[in-house]
Amino acid sequence: MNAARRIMLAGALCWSAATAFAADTPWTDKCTEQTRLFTGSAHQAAGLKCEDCHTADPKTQTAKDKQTIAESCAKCHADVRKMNPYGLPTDQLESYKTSKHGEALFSKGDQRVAVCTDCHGTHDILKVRSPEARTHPSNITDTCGRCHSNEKLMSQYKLPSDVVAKYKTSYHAHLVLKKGDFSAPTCVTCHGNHGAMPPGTKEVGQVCGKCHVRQRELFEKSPHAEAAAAGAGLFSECVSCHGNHAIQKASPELFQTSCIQCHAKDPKQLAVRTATVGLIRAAMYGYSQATTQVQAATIRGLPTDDDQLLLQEVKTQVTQLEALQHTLAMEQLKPIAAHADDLVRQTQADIAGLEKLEWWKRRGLIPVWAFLLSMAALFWAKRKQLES
Amino acid sequence: MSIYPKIRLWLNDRYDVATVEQFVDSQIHKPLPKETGFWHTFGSLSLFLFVNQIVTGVLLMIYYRPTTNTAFESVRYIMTKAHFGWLIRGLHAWGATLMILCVLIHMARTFFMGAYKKPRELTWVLGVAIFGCTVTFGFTGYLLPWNQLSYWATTVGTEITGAIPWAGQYLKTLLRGGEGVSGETLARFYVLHVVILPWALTGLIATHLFLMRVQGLATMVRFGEEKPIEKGHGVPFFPHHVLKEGVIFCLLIGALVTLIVLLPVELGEKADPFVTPEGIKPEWYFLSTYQLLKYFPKTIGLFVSLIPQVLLLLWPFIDRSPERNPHRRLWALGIGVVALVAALVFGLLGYISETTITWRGEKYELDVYAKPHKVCPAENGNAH
Repeated sequence: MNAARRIMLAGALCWSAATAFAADTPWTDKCTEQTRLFTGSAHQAAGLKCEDCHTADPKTQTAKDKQTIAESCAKCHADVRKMNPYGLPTDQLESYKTSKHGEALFSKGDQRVAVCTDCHGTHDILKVRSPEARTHPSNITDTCGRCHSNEKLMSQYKLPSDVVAKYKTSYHAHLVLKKGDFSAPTCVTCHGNHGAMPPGTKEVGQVCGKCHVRQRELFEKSPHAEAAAAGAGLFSECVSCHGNHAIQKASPELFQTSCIQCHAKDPKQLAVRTATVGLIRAAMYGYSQATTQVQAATIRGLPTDDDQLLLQEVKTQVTQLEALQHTLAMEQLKPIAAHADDLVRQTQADIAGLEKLEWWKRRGLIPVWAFLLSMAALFWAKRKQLES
Repeated sequence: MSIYPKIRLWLNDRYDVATVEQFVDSQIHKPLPKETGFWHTFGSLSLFLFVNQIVTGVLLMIYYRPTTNTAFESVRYIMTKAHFGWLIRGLHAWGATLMILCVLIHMARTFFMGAYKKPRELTWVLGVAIFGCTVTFGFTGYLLPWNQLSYWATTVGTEITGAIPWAGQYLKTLLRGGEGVSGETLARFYVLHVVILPWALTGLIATHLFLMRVQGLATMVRFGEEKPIEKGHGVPFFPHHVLKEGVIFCLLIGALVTLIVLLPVELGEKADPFVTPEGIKPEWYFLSTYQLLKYFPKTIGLFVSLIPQVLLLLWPFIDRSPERNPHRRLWALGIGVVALVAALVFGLLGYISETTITWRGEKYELDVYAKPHKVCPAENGNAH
């Protein structure tokens, strides 16, 4: 047997051994990439296996349509007995069907809309609280943005594709993405998650009011609430002044840009605006001044515990004032502003009192030095006397 | 019959009171050389300030709590609530600064008057050890208020230890009690500050004083030619010299109280390991070393900064000429003056580095080497 034949025989033996081994291996091992993704996922932790989702060999299985995917997930996720141990709700599919996504999929068979796997992933699904999950507050904006920032896709629905970009410039995004404050709203906080549906003009206030409860209550008492209730697009509760996706931290400057949108030719209302801004600005300035003074005194080691409590009270009044201006009721704003002013004055008077004590300490140096110099002179004189 | 003779009689029945009285009397009335002047009082001032540190330190310990959660708050309590807490803390903090200053002046006086020469070499070596202990006191005590400045200055200070070849990382971890400055570091520094260093310094000072009393104060006479002070020729320690010290003590106490009132020690902001404040610098007595270290790579800088300290320790064994008068040992005088000027210059550069100054209407930013860089109006925020 020549060398070439020996090599061919050895090759054939190896090939038969390899194919025999492959035939006995479960098909999870064949899908290396999927297995890698599945490892560490929430479903692997729950003990799921490939065949729980894939009814046939995935190598031969064609991609499911999105409706089937939603129903396939719901087999477990709508089953109370299966979800109870994990404390998960079972109404996701029903909820989803009420959403714009679900409506389009189930009513029109639109395969472009998002379904479970588009947001949660497929093999590598993680629990929402996992920082790496696509649905974690720090990632959800980008997850929604995969479709909602896609200009081509959004144009087909006549939807803007800059909402995610705008959101990222907002104060809400600053809190979530920069400060790690996950109590601040993301897309799903306002729009919902499974039951994703854009808030209508009338519901916007209610959506904002979920967090800004006090502001909403006060707004309801304002003349603006009547305009909003009247409909006809005259006034859209929060959005008319604060905007929506690109919402910024509210400040007195907002009055300069928002009021004139409707009241540019209404001097009486603009006067109310000027008075309101004046009260808020004065209270904020007083608070800022008092804070600087108290902080400086604290760093110096002066006893400012009481003043720090007073400052908190001033801050409460300023916050209350900022919320109360939603009523546009000057008779309610003025007493709060006056109280804040009183507290600021009290704080500043306390700090001045502490400074006075320091002044007395400095004055105290005069008798101390007088005594010490007298003693030094006595010692000196006695020494001279002894030397002579 | 007054009470003292009764007590003396009672003691005399039990102990050899006469010998003790004779010893105390001889020490009190021991004559000092006629050259003993005001410059000689800085040793006593250092001792007085050490006693001040012990007394005020014990009082501070009543309220101070050495943990990361309570250290800053307890210092705030001392400053704002405890009766005269501000004064006690001021006496302790400014006392430490003045003690280092007095020790330095005392050492400079000893150097320039050649008092370290034979037979007082060991007294000098002990003096250098006392100085080392004193600045270590300052370094460990600086962390205890647990404010931003103390935390970050200690972080920078202990980082230098890591530059020691081979053992650096181990020593740094040993000093810090972990990777970074933490509660472990605070506990270690506290133990060093209130237990180990006070006893070490007490022992060193006692031995230093004992040697000084046994060998007496040095005169300006060449060694080997010194003669014992004849009776009636020297200056009696008591009351003459003590009165002189009394004058200086009064001025020192006045300076101390003035500093406490006019430049009160700040409480600062609580240490935050996640926020590094700008312009972190060590205490003034480390500024020259701190600045020197910037001009060299880490390990080389460490050795360069150690050279003056080793020279200081071994100086009596290097300068072995019999002359004490500075006019007759000009090279030693020159080295001393150069060392002092270098320390002042580097200290000043360290102080002004990483700051912004205005010179003839122009604004300059000084970098880490204290090299000025002119600030353009645009950078200055005055473009218009």
